[in-house]
Amino acid sequence: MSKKFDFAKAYQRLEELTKQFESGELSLEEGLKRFEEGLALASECRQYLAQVENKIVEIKKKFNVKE
Amino acid sequence: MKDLKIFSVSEYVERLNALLYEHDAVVEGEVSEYRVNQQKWIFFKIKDEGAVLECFSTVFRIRAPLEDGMRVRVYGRPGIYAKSGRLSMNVEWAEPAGEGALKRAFELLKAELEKEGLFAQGRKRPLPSIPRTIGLIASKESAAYGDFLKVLGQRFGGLTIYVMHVQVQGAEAVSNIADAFAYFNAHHKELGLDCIALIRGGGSLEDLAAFNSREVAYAVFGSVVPVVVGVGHEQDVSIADFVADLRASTPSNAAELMVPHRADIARFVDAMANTMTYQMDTLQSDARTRIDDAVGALDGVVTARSHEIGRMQERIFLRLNFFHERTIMQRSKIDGLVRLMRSFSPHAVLERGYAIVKKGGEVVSSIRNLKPKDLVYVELKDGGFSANVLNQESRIRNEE
Repeated sequence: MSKKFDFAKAYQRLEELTKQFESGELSLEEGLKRFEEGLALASECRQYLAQVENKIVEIKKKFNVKE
Repeated sequence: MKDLKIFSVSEYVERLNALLYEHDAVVEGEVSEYRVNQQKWIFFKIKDEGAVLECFSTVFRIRAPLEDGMRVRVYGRPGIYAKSGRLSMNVEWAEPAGEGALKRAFELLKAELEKEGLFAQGRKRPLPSIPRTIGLIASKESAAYGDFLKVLGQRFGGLTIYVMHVQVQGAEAVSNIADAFAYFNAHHKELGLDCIALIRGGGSLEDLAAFNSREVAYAVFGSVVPVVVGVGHEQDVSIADFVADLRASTPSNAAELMVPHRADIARFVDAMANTMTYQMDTLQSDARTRIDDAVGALDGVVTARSHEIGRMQERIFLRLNFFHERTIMQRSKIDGLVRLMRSFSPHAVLERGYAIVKKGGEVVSSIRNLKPKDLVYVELKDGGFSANVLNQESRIRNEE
């Protein structure tokens, strides 16, 4: 799974795109472009959501915090 | 008696103080005559049925709110204040003892921090709706820790959780928790922390002392990263809860508040994809309708124009016919006229036996224009001839 994929960002962008579509102010050409982007994002988001594992990292050096 | 060493007062008090210093202890008693001087020095007494002990400390060392009548445990070393000769306990820490005192201390600190603005709604920050990275401050041995991670895992995946294992109870707890906050805040950028969770299981007021301490309250308050605090059971409330950006009723609830459920999010993603698909279809069919409309409109215009042209054509034909007939009529009229004109023509006269005499191409109408020997041309109805003038006679003679 791609580590770089920022789900929150992708989701936010998806919301933005949906809003643009709902506004009804898109031209056909703009619409097509955003539609492709939106569907790609949606499929990436679905893939991300299918992940099961959370990564747990324990921070050991807690008591020399001040360094 | 003579063998005994003779001290000066100062020397003796100093010696006593050296001995007393060794007798550090935790003493429990009831506070009385509590007062603070110059917002710095704290004086009070602790007592029981049989004795009174004077205590001295500073506001920096005693963070728990004390008041008269409260049951406390103090830790310190005794000493004699040289100027007055009075013995007092130099207190290093003090804490309320027993549920009643703890409850009272809790209320006092809560009121105080509330006044300072630590609980102000206005300072509470929203949590990111979908976090990627969470800082977790908890005891790894606690059930709270397991519950939190379990619920988190059920709800969402792909998260990174940085864990700071701390004591959540006992002497170390307060400084552990404060240090964990300090660490997370110092490194939040490189870790990319979206929020911090501080959790522990439920317990008595005494168990929760760290979560009710001023230090932890300030640590939560001072955090750059938004904080969720989830302590114990539903009914357990701590000072840290009030300071947190978001208060969770339990550690599991903290996990619920921090991340959405993947099924909900998946539904939203699907809904958004559907909306986009539907809107895209609408866009396309709208465009198609617009094109059809335009073609229709164009068609209408063309048909209307061709009708108009047809009507014009008809009108033109009618006009042309009219002209044509008029022309024919006029033509016959002209023919008549031409005939009339012709009858006036000199040629018609020639027909009748007259002649035209020309000299040098010009018609000669008077005898005065002719001299003998002039060459003239005489035109008759069917030809002409040249002639020389022999003589001229006047018209009068001619008429004879």
